[in-house]
Amino acid sequence: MTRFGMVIDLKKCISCYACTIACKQEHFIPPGIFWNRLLISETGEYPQVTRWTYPVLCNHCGEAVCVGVCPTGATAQRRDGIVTIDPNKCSGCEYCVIACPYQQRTVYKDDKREYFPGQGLTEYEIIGRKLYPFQTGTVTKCNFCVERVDAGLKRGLKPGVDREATPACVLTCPPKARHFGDLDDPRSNVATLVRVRKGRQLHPEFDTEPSVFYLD
Amino acid sequence: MRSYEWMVTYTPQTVWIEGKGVLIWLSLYAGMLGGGTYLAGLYFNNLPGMVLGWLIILIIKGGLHLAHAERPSRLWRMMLRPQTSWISRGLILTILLIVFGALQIAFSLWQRASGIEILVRVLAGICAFGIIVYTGFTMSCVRGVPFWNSALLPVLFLLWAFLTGLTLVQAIDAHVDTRAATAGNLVLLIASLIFVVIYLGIASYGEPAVKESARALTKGRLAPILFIGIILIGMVMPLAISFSGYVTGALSAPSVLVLVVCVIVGGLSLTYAALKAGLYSPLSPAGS
Repeated sequence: MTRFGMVIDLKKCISCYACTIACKQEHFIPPGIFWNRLLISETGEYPQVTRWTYPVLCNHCGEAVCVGVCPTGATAQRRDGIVTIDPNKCSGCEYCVIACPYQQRTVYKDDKREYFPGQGLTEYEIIGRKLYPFQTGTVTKCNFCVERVDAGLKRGLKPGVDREATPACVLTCPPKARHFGDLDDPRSNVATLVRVRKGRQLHPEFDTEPSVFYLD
Repeated sequence: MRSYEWMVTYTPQTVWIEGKGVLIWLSLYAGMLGGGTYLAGLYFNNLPGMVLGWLIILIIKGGLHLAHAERPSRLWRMMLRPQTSWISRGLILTILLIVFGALQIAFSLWQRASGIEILVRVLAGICAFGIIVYTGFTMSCVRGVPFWNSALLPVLFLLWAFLTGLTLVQAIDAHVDTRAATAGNLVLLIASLIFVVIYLGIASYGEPAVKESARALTKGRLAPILFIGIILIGMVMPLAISFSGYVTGALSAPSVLVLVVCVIVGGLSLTYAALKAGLYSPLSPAGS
């Protein structure tokens, strides 16, 4: 079986937000909605201060609670582990937003909002609404660039290895902190990193089996 | 909450309590209120009670869900996943109660005590019970909000739904045995009080996010709702009124009215506090 996952090396991440921007560009994500975020925080007091940066996105959990709670079947898990939302089925009940312990889901409500308020839609927004239309009142989240993955697979490419089949955030990351691939393939880049560098998941106590691993 | 604190510190659940989410709070409570009233009406064989419970579910609960729905035309789809989703189960139970309730009320008027009337009555009662239960389970199955993730929550909601139903039926039917009804009130109020104390007691020794929720309820921003809304208005005042009714064997109409108002305010406070106290654990070690 294939189970796509991501490994993020926290030692390499330089908090540049390139992943956030690349994700926005790739999917024409409207203002106020993020599929990729950086959580930046500090602990301790001067001079013993630690800065924490956590790039967060949908974890595409193996035991995805969002899939179970979705009453319409709009949220579904593919055989390769990617959790997707069908906007044509979503009723906007927001139960998945509540149920996600990682808070990675957002309801798209305001289609009047512009990137530059009062100045009209930019060319980017106009094209985006045609190419990647979001439906108001439906839930949205990271889909591991499933369009790129599927297009690449059709061409016989390997996600995580070949650029055309790899998520945009992974491609754009300047320090190469992000890796994508098949977690179930023991020879893949991600499985090797998780095994060798003891990758860990966020909140494993929820038994959701996230497919996003972090390396300290 | 500032944007840079989001999921770095304990992040409150806002979706079901702020903005349009207020409708979900009210609809969850309406489910308890309507289901409890229907069951109490059924227990006392009181048709107005059953009609009232049915109307609460049909108009208030149904209306609030419709008002909240972002895509009302797709609501029918929400019945498609009863095997895993409590919302699906709840919607199916609500629709079944509306149908069986209508039939039962009709049979009560024209074919009272017939076999089919009793059958429909049992089915409607099961649906009413299911609506109350689903309210609690919809919240308690959310593991991401550890404060809700407790088996005690559905029981607490169940007790409060029975209590509200009992007091409402007392209010609309003067023939209900006051001593029996007030005894029921006392048992349910004392049981609810014990459950609230146990719930908060367990939460105070739970994982950090649960402790934080318990702290917000007992010492923080939600303390007035707990101590004034739930305990004083929702429990102490109804206890005093019910106790006097039990001792004297009679309750004046204004006392019953105050009792109903207190129990409804207590129930609204209980559901509000539960929803508002829900917190997500931080994703970053800085918040731990």
